[in-house]
Amino acid sequence: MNPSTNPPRDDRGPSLRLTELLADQATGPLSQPELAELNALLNAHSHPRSPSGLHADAISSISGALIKAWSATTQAALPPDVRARLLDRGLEFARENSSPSATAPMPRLARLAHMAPPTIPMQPRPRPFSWPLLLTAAAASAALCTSLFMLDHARRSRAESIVARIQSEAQNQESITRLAASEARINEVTAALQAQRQEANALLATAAEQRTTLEAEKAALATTLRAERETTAQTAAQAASQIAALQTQLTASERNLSTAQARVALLEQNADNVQIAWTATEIPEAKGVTGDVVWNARLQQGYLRFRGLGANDPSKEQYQAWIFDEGRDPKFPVDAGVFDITLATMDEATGDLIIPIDPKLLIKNPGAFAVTLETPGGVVVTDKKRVVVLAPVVVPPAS
Amino acid sequence: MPTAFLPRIAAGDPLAVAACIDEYGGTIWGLAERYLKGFGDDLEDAVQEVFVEIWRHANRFDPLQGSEAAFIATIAHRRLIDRQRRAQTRRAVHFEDHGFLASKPLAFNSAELADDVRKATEAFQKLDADEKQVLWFSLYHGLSHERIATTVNIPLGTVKTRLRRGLMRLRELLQADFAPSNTRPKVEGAAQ
Repeated sequence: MNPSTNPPRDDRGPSLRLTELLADQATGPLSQPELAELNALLNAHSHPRSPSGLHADAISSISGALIKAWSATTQAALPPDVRARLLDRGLEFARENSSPSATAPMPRLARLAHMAPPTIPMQPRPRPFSWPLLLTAAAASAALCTSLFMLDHARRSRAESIVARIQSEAQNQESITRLAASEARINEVTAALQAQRQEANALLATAAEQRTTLEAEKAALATTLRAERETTAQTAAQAASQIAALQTQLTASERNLSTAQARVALLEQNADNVQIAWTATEIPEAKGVTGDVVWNARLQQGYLRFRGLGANDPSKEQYQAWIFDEGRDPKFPVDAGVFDITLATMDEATGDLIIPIDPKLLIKNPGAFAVTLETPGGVVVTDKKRVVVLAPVVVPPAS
Repeated sequence: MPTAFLPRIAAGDPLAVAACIDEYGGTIWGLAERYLKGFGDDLEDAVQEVFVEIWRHANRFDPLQGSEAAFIATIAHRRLIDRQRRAQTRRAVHFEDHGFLASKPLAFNSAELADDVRKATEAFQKLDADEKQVLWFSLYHGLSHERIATTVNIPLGTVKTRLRRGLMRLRELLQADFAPSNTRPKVEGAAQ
């Protein structure tokens, strides 16, 4: 409570201020300064009845009565497990407080109950002395004492029995309460464990489902990856093959270019060359073939040039060049080299194929050049059955 | 009127402790439910604290000052209000609209009440409506003065004035039933 909201003190008299503080205390917590002020005012009004007729307990009793009245209407119930634990705490409190404390103030009713009854002094009444009367009285007194003793003994036994029964009942009640609390606790723990188990099962089911899904995704991914890897490998193989083919083609082109350049150089730089055009024969492979032979006898160097010569299958047959040297037997022309006609060895621009002449013997005076189709690897002596082109050397008449 | 348990509890009687729990457990549980709504406090802990306070102060109960029910309700009210304050200190409490403004004081069931409680309820009916309203919010719902001011939308000083005026009028109406005795007034926290 904020002290700044308090009304001005003592302006309307201390008893009014005391009433206000008691009302505030009955409806809400007081701040420390307010409590101090209240205690001071109560000390000042320590007389049971203050000038205004005020009594502190009146206010709190009224507020307590209203609280109790409304609570009785709403009829809330204490939960059984809470009751069991509260009972444990209460019995523990009762055990701790079962021995009367010397310092604890005794309640008013208890005080009244423990007060000794008022004693009234008895005045002895003078009686005349009589032995028979005295003996009779003594006997009666003895009988009365015996009866009183028996009665007192019976009463004590009964009281002890009742106390023992009450204590036994309290202990039984306590045991029952504890058992009920234990049972409630066990039920609570069992329910909690069951709930946790269900939760764990649900989590396991979810995890298994997620695992199945993940494994399916993993398998699909692996399949896709394998297919992509295969595709990539095929693409790479194709690329490698294409690169090899291109490389071969490039090498052949370079070789053709080099051979062509060498032929041109031979023609330009030497005047003693012999250049004869090919004459195609009647076999199908010779149809449309043109070209020529360039030979320099001094340099023992020459070139064959073809256009329109069909490609051969090197595994089945190969072209072989021959030189008929006039100093030798015409049955045995000189082998001038084996070659193949493929697209790779052909000049793309002109379609010409230039083959360098590679005579295995010294050519003295060539009479003719010829190309035949032979078995793979060529032959030593041709049978001249498949002559493709022929170029006879015509010696110009001596002038 | 129920048997007084407090003197027997003060003497350490376990049966009286058990009977006290059964007699007032529901009342205090309901009170704790209403007072601590929105504070996030532990109801069982609060109820146990109230009962321990009752048992500890059982020797202060004086039947000449009022009924046992009113005595216990007063202790419960103060202890629960104190817990409200502690809960509010521990963390920032955001109050929801619990429909306090729309609620009206319940009709009393006088037949089941102790004599002093019954007379207090009869006197309550004679108060003005604004006094009834703030007392209802404070004693039934356990709202602090500040929350009553916010709920009803009136200044804090007005809330206090109405509460004081209502209780003083009740005291005047019940003057004969709450006559002073020879015991010294007891104040919560006075021994501290």
